[in-house]
Amino acid sequence: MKTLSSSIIGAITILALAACSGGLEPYPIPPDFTGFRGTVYFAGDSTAWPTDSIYNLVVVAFEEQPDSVGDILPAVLGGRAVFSKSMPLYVDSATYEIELPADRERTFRYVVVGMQDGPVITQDWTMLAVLGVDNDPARPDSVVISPGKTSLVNFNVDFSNLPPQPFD
Amino acid sequence: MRRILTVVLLTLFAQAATMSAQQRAALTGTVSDRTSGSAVQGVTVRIEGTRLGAITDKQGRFRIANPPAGSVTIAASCVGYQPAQLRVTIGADRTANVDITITPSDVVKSDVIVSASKRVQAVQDVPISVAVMRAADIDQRNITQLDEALTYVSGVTVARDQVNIRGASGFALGAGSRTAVLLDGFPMTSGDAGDIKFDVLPVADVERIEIIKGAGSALYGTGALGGVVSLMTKEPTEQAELSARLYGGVYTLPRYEQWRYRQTMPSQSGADLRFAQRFGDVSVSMSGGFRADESYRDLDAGHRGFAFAKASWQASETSRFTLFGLYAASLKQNLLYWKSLAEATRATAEQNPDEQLFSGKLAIAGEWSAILSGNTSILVRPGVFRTNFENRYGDTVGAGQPSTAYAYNLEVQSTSRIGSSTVLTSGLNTRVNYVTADLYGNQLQTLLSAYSQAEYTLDTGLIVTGGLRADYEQTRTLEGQFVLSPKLGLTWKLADQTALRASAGRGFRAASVAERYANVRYGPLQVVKNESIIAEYSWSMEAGINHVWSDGIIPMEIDGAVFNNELFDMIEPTFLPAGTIQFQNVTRARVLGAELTLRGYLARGLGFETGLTLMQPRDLVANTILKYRNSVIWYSRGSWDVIDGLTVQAEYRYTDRVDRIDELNVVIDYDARVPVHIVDARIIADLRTLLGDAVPLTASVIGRNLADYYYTEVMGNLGPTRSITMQVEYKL
Repeated sequence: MKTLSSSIIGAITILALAACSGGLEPYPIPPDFTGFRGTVYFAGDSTAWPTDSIYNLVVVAFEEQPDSVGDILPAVLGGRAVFSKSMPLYVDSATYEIELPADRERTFRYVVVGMQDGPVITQDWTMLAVLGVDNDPARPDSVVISPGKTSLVNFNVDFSNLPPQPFD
Repeated sequence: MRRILTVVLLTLFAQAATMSAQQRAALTGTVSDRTSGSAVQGVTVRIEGTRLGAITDKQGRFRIANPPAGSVTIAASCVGYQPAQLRVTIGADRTANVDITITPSDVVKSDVIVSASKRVQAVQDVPISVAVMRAADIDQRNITQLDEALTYVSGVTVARDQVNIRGASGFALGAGSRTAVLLDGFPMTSGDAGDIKFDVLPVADVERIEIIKGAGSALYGTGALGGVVSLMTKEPTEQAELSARLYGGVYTLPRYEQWRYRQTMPSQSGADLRFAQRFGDVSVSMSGGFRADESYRDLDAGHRGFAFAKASWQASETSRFTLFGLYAASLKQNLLYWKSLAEATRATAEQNPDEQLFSGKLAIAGEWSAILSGNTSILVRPGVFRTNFENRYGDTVGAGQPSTAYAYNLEVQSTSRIGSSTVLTSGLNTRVNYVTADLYGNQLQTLLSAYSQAEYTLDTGLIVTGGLRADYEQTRTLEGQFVLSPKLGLTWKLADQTALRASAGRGFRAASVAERYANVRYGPLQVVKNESIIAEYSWSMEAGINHVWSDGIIPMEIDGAVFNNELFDMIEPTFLPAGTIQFQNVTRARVLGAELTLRGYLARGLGFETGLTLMQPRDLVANTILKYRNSVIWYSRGSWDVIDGLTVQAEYRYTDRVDRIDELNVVIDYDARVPVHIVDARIIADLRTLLGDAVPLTASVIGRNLADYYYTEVMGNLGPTRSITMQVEYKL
């Protein structure tokens, strides 16, 4: 009987162990990423997008909010603003990332999704979404990026209800 | 199956002087059921180490002729009861009389529960699925917090204090509970988040846990949408009970180097102390303890202390007062999510290593019960449950987002027997949640309720149960809501050992203050308030059968059930774009399922239990599977008495991979999830049996997650890795 007993207990254990693949496994640790990552969500389907005049779509993080549209390019060229690669158009959502050198802490006080809607890169920009305090685009929120820190920032773009434009 | 033995009453009389010639040289006595007090027939009573034995008659009496003189061990065993052992001294004239009480065990046709109808009744008379866990089960598993106990119940899963009975609950960010939890009938959900505070429940004092699977709002009101977990504390006896438990152990280091956040094994330790005794009409019990856990993850360590006291006064033969109080405080690092699957035991860079979450819980409740006449009893149960928490940073106290909530509860209940066939249970209940918090603002939520339930037993063995509860909810910002929760149940005893059951009932849950008013950043998520949430509700239907084979080759109990939970206006955290979360009434869902539980003895000392729950949880709005739900829950357990006093137990839990979750990509690798396979095992040595009365200790080695299987409990949170614990328990 003891043999039977131990066999049954053992069988339960072996079956359970055999069923296990070990579960989750880690992948190699990637180098620390410093910067922004996130997703931009677009409300509605592709028909909600402007049908033409989209030249570029990027996420831009400014150290200071530009006073005029003319300040955008100088801020980028001067290193006071960083931007993502161009994002795909006419999609439901798109991920982005902006990698920064991990050499110092930086504060960005104006983080937006920007659309270039004309051929003049220094002038033709519309802000599609603004990172705001309590999601209020009229009150831009700050993001502090320390070396090794990733800030996850998502945006919601509704072409029929764009945020207040800073340069109007 | 062999368990820690329970012998409640021992009376030994030396009666040699009055023995007749026919009664000389005999060990005699009776065996009775501890719960009902009735005699038990068919119990085998043996004198250990000899071939002497007898079987009890209809009156529960036995007689063993010519026993040896001196100290002997008497063992009593019977299908459906825990085997009992006690030591008896037989005088030189070789006569003695012993009264033994034995406790019903898992394979039992006459187990009783009190939670299904708020009164004592046999399990087979209950029209809904129930499970019972006893103190011995809790002790043996080194349960340090009572939510762990629920993971050993078929059809139930637990993740971070959220109890999910048969798929009723999913992911709720710690707010709200679709399971009502009661301690001696007093509700133990907080006034702000409406969540269960398991760490305050007195592990050492719990006598039994009853789990009702299915809507229970007809009696228990809000929260009992998916089921009820009812904990009953122990009743002191005239003999002083002193017990102490010490345990210590480690989490073994993960097999993946990159998951080792430290190079030494993190420890866990704790201790409990309990004293209880009845002094005439007054009984007292006190317990307390502490827990310390370095955790298998970085920035997740914590410690806590807790205390419980209960006093009862039997004022007269018909009137009794009880007062209990409990307090717990914990300080824990506040890990929210992992850094990534690659670094699953480390926190994100945003996590402040100095941040800790302090929480305190205090409950004081009373109960007056009285028999008003031969057929009517009344019970009055007032109480308050205070909870508070705040974030602390280093040595700074009161720095962040404090919340204090008071949940006042008053219930008046009467139970009447009308004629010989009807029992009527009725009551009034009020609950007031008062909250002062940065997160929620100052809020007041009031619930007023009235309920009544009648049970009618027909001559055919059919028991018909019908009940109705009316609840009215009001808050400062919400117009009053009125909710009716009816219930109908049928139980039919086909035969002495077979019962059929069917039930349908409505459950509901009022939104918690947190779900309505929370405006808080939770890690990378911003929770925003939604004052317009209405109560969610469900219709729960079940049909089941229970059968006991007590005289077969393998004594066995089988319980099968099919169930359907229709869920309406479900309050779920809804992920809005830009990392915002809001609780909304969003989902209409259906959980269809079947459950089969089997338990029995393969041979003396070798028991087993297995429970399989299959479910089809559907989101009827999205026409797809319901988020955060399993389709398969399988629990199995084996127990083997290797020798008297030495038991080996093994348990296996399986849940399939959750099919659907939210796209929460603010948490890196949020989508990492797998089926869950957990193997636990323990070796329990009753040193009193092995070494004699001089060593009243039980020593255990307990292994959890022995396969060191890696899984997620909730998104971005690795489940507990393998741990090995040593436990020593002293009982006097």
